[in-house]
Amino acid sequence: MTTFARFAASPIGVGLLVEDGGLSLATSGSTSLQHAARSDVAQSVGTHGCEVVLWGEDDAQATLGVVIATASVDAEVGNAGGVGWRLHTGQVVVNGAVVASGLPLVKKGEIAGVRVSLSGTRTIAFYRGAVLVHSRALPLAGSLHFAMSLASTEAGGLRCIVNAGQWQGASDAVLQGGWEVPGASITPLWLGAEHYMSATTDTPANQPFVGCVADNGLDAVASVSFWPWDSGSRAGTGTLRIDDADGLLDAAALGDMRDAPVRLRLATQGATLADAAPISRYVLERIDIEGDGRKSIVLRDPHDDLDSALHQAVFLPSINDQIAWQPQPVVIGAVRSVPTIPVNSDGSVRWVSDAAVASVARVLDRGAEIIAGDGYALVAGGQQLAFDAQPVGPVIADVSSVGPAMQPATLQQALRDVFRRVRKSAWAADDAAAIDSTTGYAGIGYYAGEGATARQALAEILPSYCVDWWPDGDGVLRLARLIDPDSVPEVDLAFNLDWRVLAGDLIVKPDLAPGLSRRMAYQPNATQLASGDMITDLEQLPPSERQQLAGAYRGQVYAGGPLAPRYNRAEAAAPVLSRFDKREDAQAELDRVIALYAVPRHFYSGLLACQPELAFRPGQIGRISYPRYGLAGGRNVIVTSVITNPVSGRHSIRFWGA
Amino acid sequence: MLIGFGQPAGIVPSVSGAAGINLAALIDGAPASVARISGGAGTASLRLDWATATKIRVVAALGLTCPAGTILTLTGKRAGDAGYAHALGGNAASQAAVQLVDGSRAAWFVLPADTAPLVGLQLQVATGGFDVGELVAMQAVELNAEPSWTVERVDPSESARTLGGGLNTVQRRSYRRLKVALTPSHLTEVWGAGLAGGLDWDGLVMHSAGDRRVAALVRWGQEGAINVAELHRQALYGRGMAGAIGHLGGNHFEQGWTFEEVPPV
Repeated sequence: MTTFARFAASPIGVGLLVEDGGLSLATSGSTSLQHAARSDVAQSVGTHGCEVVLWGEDDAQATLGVVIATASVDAEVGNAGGVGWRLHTGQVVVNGAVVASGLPLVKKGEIAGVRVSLSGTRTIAFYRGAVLVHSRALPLAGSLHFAMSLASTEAGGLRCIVNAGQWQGASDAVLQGGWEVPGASITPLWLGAEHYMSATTDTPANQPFVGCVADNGLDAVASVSFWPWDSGSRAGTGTLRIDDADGLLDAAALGDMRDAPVRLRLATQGATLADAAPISRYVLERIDIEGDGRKSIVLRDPHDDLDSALHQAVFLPSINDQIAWQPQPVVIGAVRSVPTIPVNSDGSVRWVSDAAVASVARVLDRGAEIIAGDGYALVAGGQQLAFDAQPVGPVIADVSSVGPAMQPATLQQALRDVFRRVRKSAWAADDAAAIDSTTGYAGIGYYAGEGATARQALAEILPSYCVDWWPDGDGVLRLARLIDPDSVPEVDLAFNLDWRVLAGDLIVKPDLAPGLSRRMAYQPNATQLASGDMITDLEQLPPSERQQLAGAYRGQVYAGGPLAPRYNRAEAAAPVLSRFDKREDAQAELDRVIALYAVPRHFYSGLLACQPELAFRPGQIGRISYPRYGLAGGRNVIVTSVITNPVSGRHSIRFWGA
Repeated sequence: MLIGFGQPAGIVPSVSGAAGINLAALIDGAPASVARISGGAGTASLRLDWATATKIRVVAALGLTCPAGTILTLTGKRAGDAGYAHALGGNAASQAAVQLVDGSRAAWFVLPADTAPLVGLQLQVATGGFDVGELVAMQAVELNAEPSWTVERVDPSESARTLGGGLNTVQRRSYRRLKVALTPSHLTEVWGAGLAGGLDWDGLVMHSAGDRRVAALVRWGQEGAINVAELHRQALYGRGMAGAIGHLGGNHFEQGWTFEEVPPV
């Protein structure tokens, strides 16, 4: 996880005080601009920036900029060894001299940003909101801290908060910069199950790999599970045992190698590393010392970045002290009954989402509709609703983050939004696009109030399409969808496994589909209104609509297709919750899944041994044949889980089919 | 039978006339880990240096990737010598790299028993770029073996039968195992420092303890008449596992040895 710079509690100029662990800076009494606070982390290479917002009772009188490490904190930012932008006068000060003026003034509540580019010719740029207002050469050498001077008449008269990249930015100062704490540089380790040296043409060239991996290395796991089944765990962890009598890994075991990325490849002795097949990716958890000659490297899921928070903004103390630091809600696609959060004293300005929403379809105050334009307007770049009259509340809104008229997000749009929020690029957008074009569904809506992670978002979004994700050998997050294996034409089959090539008996287990249901709910409500939350006027709020608002979802569909007798349970099961917004999407998807279970389905577990050259992946469709269980003539199946040992060539594969 | 043992302590590898990568692999006891030599102008010289003057008798370059037939020339450096010009006997003046059955190439040298103690060696290879797995420089002692010795090739490959009787195999690197019984010998050779260099059976056991690398040259011709073909096909670099020294009666003793190869790539 990246950590970001804050204001340092020491050194700090007289009359200034850091609060909230350094995230905010306040005046501790009547003070002039001749004092400064600076960041705890300095940067000397790369492009870095941060944004600040001022609030308080006093007039905005502040200077934002960067200083060198030896600059005095009892001088204004921009004095000797600094560059400062006086937000209240629009002047830029370099080493004590005003070098530019006439910049736009920054008022309280507006975002001011500074960005420095330290590689090559050093430059500094200032931003107001999203707009670049000034840039110039940066005449400072060495490592730089961001710094701030505040002036006020009383304690707490002026405060500012810094965003060094932990939240979404308004300008390139954070979007292209950020003031993160640099990660410790680690020396890579090159290990193998045998001694190996990469070729001169490889990257890295002539790199010896030490053959110290014991016990056939580890098993790489890739598996998917779909909503009609038991949700299977996705064990993306592993342990690699190492023979290390020479102490090669001693320093690494004691040092800070945590969180280093790990890449597993299958190379052929004598061949180049470029020809090596990717097996899997991990993140190093730790290195355990078992004894003088043995260590074990504990690896974990490379996609643990999915556990980062989805929210990219919090309510700052400058908005409302009561909701300070609370994450702002996430809206992706078309979402019904989004609760709005009052951010001013009378509740006439209400916050919707941490990013701008594209359209608002309906706004209801206690269930009574408020008319757009007449009663409310979307303001602040699309994140807030401003009301002409104070609503009583609760106020809910139907909104879309994508487009007009409650347009839902396609799978690709939704996932792009999710992964953008956690800054993840290693995912297969093509997989999502293919599912969108195959299904033709309008899409989904997703809402998260507090504390949601990307992993939770995927777990809620993907089942709507009967899709699950799995990590491929290059660590790319891929998507697999449950489809009827028999729908795939003969020529497109990925494999044809005859029983004669299996290393062990084929094990068959019936698919009892414990999660299957004939009903699917759509249009989930982001919040449910209690009956006391709604007006009693049956004209304005008819009972049917009242019921929609009070329930967990607005509607449900029923699939009447034939089901194999084994799946009778599905007749009475509770509806499965989908994130679809359109009734026809839900109907089509449910009809499709019910049709899959018109015949009894089974899981088949097969074993292949000593065949390191084989590679199976979840979602592949192929054919297996076996003398028993009616498989003599062959049957199309879909791969649902693969456990592979690249060293011993042992594959445990689970298939699903009729 | 010639047993190589006791590679000098504190040995430092280097290369002259070319660039070398991962030179530590020359002396790490693993011929499978290679050093890469490149950029030599038609020739490259591998060098080993150590502090204490030691009487070297067995030298080998294992896991070579230069073509079979490439000429290797071995010269020495005695204490006080300025360079590596000291000519060595045996086949040191010129030995071609020999293709072995395991697909690797190697060059073995056996130096005469009266070779002067050395503090350095130079192996000049008549090619400018190649990989080499191990550069061995060892003391050695002559022992007599009983005629019933055996060599086998151990194949740790993993195989599995499929249900249809098919055979799938994960190839692993095979290695040789030499089992040899020493000709029963007298107390002086066993505990009396009666072998060349003041060594005896008991001392040799200690020199091979802890899987320290040894070389077993079971048939190599004789001094002055080295049988190059037999030397290269039978010489084995690896570990030696000494059996118990058994008392046969009187002042006579017996001992068996097992040598296991550490193979190159």
